Amino acid sequence: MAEVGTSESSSPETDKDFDPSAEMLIHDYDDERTLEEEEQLSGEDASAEIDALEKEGEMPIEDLLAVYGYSGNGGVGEGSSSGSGSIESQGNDTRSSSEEEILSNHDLTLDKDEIARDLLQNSDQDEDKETSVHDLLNSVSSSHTARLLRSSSQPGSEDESSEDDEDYEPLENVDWKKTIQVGHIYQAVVPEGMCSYGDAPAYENEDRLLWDPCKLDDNVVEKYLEEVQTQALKNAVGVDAVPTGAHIRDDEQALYLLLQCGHNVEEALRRRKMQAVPPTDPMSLWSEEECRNFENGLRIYGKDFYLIQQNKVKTRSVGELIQFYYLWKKTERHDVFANKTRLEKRRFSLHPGVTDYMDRFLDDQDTPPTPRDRSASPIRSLLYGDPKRHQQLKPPAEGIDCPDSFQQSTPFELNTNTGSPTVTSLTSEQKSKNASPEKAEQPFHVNGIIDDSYQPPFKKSKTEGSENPQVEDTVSSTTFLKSQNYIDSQVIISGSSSSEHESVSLCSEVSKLTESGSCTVSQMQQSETLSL
Amino acid sequence: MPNQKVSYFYDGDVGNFHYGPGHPMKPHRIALTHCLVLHYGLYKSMQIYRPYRASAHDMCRFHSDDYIDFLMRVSPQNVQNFTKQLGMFNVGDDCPVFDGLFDFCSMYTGASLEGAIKLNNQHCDIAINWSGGLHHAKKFEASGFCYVNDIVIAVLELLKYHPRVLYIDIDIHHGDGVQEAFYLTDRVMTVSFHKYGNYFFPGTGDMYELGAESGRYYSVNVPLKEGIDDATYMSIFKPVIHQVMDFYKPTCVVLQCGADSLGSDRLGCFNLSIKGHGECVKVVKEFGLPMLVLGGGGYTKKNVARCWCYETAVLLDEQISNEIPYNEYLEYFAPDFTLHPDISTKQENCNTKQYLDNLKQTVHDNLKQITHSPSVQMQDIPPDLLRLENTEEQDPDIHNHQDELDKRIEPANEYYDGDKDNDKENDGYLDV
Repeated sequence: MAEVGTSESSSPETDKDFDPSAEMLIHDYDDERTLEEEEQLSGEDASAEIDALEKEGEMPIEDLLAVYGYSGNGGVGEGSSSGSGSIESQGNDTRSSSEEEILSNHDLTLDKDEIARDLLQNSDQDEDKETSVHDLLNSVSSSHTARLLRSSSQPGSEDESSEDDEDYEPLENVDWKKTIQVGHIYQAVVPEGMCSYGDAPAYENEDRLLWDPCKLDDNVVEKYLEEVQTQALKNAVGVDAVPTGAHIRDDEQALYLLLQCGHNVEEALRRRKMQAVPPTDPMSLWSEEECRNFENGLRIYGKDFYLIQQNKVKTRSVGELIQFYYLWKKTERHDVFANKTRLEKRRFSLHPGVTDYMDRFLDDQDTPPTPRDRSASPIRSLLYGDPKRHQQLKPPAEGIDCPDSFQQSTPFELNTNTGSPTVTSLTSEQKSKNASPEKAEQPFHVNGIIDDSYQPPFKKSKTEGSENPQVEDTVSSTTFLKSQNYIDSQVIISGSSSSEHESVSLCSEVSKLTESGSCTVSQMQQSETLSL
Repeated sequence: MPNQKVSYFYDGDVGNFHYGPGHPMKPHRIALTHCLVLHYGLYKSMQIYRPYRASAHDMCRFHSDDYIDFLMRVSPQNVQNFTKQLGMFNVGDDCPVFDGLFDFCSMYTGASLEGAIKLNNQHCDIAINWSGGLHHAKKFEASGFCYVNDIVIAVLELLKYHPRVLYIDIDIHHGDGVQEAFYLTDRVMTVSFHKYGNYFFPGTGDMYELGAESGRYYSVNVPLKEGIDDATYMSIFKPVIHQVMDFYKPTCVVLQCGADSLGSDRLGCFNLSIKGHGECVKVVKEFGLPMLVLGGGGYTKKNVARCWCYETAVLLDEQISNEIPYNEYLEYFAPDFTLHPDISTKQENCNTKQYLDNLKQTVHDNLKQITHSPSVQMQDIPPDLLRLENTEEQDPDIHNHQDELDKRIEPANEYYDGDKDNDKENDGYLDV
């Protein structure tokens, strides 16, 4: 007990040395505020500060600690250019060095109990001392490497002050900033001086000039294109005969032919006429079967076109599938598909663990942007800034491919979808398309087993902004044509009509028909599944 | 100014790739852009090339051999055998392995490289490759949806003929891959305007990243805050570009036109309109330097297509109507079917005038250092010598070489006419 008394009496003496540092502890936040004020006053004398900071970066940690330990206030000036993060670490800095001082001073008193007690007292005052020292060391060492070229953090005080709270953890602040790597392994090898193409390596692949505008007058070319277009219309049969609008568009093949003919318009036109059969397009017609398999694949694998190709549509390349997808996406057929799948999604949502593919599917719909702060995202990944992805990641257990559970779970769903499903998360565009509510309620069943009479694939007849409402007569319902230049032209609707209005009514008729057809299909399937 | 000759590089297959379910990067936007270019009738005003595909050898001019080798061999079938490399080369979440990955890379890289070659041969004044501009890729690492850095490879090609190449990047993300590749050299100046701070990808692009060694002061960064609009953007873009041109005097420009700086972008937070974005292209074009124009980011597909189609028209000095002509992808441009819909968002513009003035001042101060830098050789080769050399070197790619050369003379004449015009103006001035 006496020892305690003596230690208490002796402590004021030793305290003298670390008195300022105790003050530092208490006035820690004050210091920061003055720092900021100074920062704003001092403006930016950037380069000198950077130099100083770079010097510090090269210092051994001990030296650095010592520097800050001796002059707690001297560090203030230094720190003004670095952001709040390093200011924070300087605060810690002084603490830790004062601790060292305590240790050394108490060694002189040779009273270990006293030291321990003092330390304990100290740590009572400031519980996070240990960790902050640790943090400090970390931050110093990490900034030692990270600072290499980045120099210091941004001085922009207005920015920093608003973030002070978030940036309280100094390490985190350091973390999101990245540095440019320097070293011969990172940079490109810039050739000394310049050279000519004589000694350049021979390129392995040839390029091809497809069109050169310099040879002919614009008017001549335009006349040629017009001629080609009318000629094509005259000769076209079936879906090709659909007008594509009054404007003259640039026809890649026609222009290439003209180039091949040495820019001789007559010759090019003659050759074009000779080609009774237009050059076969790589994207030839898709059969109904391919189309259905594609949709099934999409349902099962989401937009993993590689898996769809491997398992469902082996007759097409992945590239063709993707090209097809983007055209298919804007057809009625897609709308039917989307509604159906949305319905399924509702059922599956009752069964966690079943993959929600429709989310993936729908995320491509261009949803109107909602005001949000997209600027905050973990720095390692560009993707994390994607709000759609966050939604998508919400379902906790997302099985990647579970077609089995997909199938198994369906029998249990039968009763859940009897109520009218409310279609949520529709884009405005989609909403207008789904004006007929019964469409959404079609009790379609899974696995896309669809009656052949199911749905003629037809292009939406909406033609706002285009000159001609495209309507086509007698086109086989099993063709979904895909050709570079004429894809747009298909509005495949049974029966002919010349006005948009009529075609719309036709559409609804067709969809009614389809509905009844699909009802029977689903009824059949219901009985099937019930018997399981 | 004489009409600049524009070449356009497009591979019909480049749009038929897919990064995988839910991935915001959609190569199909290039096909969409091309479709608009065709239907607006811009196609016939340009030299059109189906570019060759870059070989692994071309890619290794910048990238490490083992990285390119990995890109060549990896596929969705065998990806499980490459777990170690996936981590090593940062291939996975942001940069997934998809079917045709290497083909995709060789298409967009080939197009950029060929654009550079055509510029070097003076076969055109402006080369456009909307599929290129993948500025995040590092020497041995994929990053931010980019695998092969076509920009670096094209710039390396340009450096064969050009003493100083200027790279300008208006993508919302910092052009870190290009900056890093040329961080130590003064032969390439990189200028990037981007959103910086608050965990925004990629985390580099502080205004104090200046370059190092001989490249010190040859990296220019303009870190911006979210919500910047047309007028504010132009208020910093124009003066900075003019200063850069004054101080650096490049002989060739590479412009990366990432469209994620537009308003309403899926990943972006700027508020530029399509016209505002195109204005940047116009500003750069008006310097009349040989120009390689590349794509880049852009994650709201329909706006990317609108933007790049409009910029094609800007580069051609052609006016195109606001009403999008009928085309196979018309549905994508619903509900307005216009080229310039209102795409602004409610995002507040966080860039104060004071902040931008400060930026401009810093950039100016840094650029002034260039003249004091001893390592700069502002005149490596006299331009005349270059042209002479050019005529002697027959490029194996080119068939009617003489024709091309004859064509080159025309603009030169026109330029001379321009000089005469100047004289007249001077006369007029003297009269007054």
